[in-house]
Amino acid sequence: MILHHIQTSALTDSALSTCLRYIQPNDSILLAGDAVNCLLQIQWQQRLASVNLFVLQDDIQARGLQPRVEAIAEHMSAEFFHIIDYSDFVEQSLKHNKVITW
Amino acid sequence: MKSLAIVFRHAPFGSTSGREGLDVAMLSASFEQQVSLIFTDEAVLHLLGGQTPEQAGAKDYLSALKALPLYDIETVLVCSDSLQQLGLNASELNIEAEVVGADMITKTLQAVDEVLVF
Amino acid sequence: MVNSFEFNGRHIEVDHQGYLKNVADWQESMAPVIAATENIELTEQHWEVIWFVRNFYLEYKTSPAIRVLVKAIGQSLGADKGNSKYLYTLFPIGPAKQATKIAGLPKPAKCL
Repeated sequence: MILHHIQTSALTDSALSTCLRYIQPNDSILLAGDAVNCLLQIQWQQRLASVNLFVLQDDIQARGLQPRVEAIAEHMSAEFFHIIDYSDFVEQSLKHNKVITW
Repeated sequence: MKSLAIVFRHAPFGSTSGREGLDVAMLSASFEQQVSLIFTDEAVLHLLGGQTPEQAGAKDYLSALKALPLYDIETVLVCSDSLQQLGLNASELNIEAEVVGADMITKTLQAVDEVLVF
Repeated sequence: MVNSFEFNGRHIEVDHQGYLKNVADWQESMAPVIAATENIELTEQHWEVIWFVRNFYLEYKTSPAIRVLVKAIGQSLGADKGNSKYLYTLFPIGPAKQATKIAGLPKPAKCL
């Protein structure tokens, strides 16, 4: 059970797609920094639909994307999509066996 | 003793990440940690022969790859998908390495204590 | 800070710990001079290790840390030489540190 931590934009870096190549059904992905922008793209919404996903709230708010991301979240499974703060991030890091920062 | 997997995912020379990853690998191995290396994406290009890093303005850190067995780093995995994407063959690799599918890399990432990505 | 010493009328640049900045500046006759600053008088046994680390560096472009040095020397010169006791007798402060310095190589980054 791994928490995959992605910080870079999916448009400029392959971190997210590389991580998806090696992910296991038990694992989760945490989107932080520019990585949150991928949620605006339909192909990433689709590829991430079946992954347990955490998104750092500060990073979507900072980019003015909260309303959009919330609207997108409505189409995603509530069971898999979580907007979290830093203390949740810490909690998730402890819950998972390890964190991989891609 | 902790087990450590070091993932290389960036092309050689364009950034210093390959060199940094190799430094961490050799340092950890000198401290008797059990180190595995995983090459994926464009980082598989590190393993091709006939490279002249100095010509690209980089330090020659590729030569140190040949010393890995002396550091007791015996597990070197190379992503077969990445090789295929770049049109490379296992026979073109310059060092002793195992070409494996994504599932084997997934297994390794799950099994080790820590994973560092460069 | 750039340090240097004079050798045969040339300025040889070294780092603050006395390691040569440029591997190519080194020549055999320089080794006894560097060794003297380490209070080591070179014997045939010292030379064997010095050439070994020098060749190791030229092949792998990295200075061997002590553990690797012990293993590699064991493989090519035999177990009686590939052990830290023997190497510490020759280079009391640290075989990897001192042998690389005398061989004109950078300090091993992983040196304990």
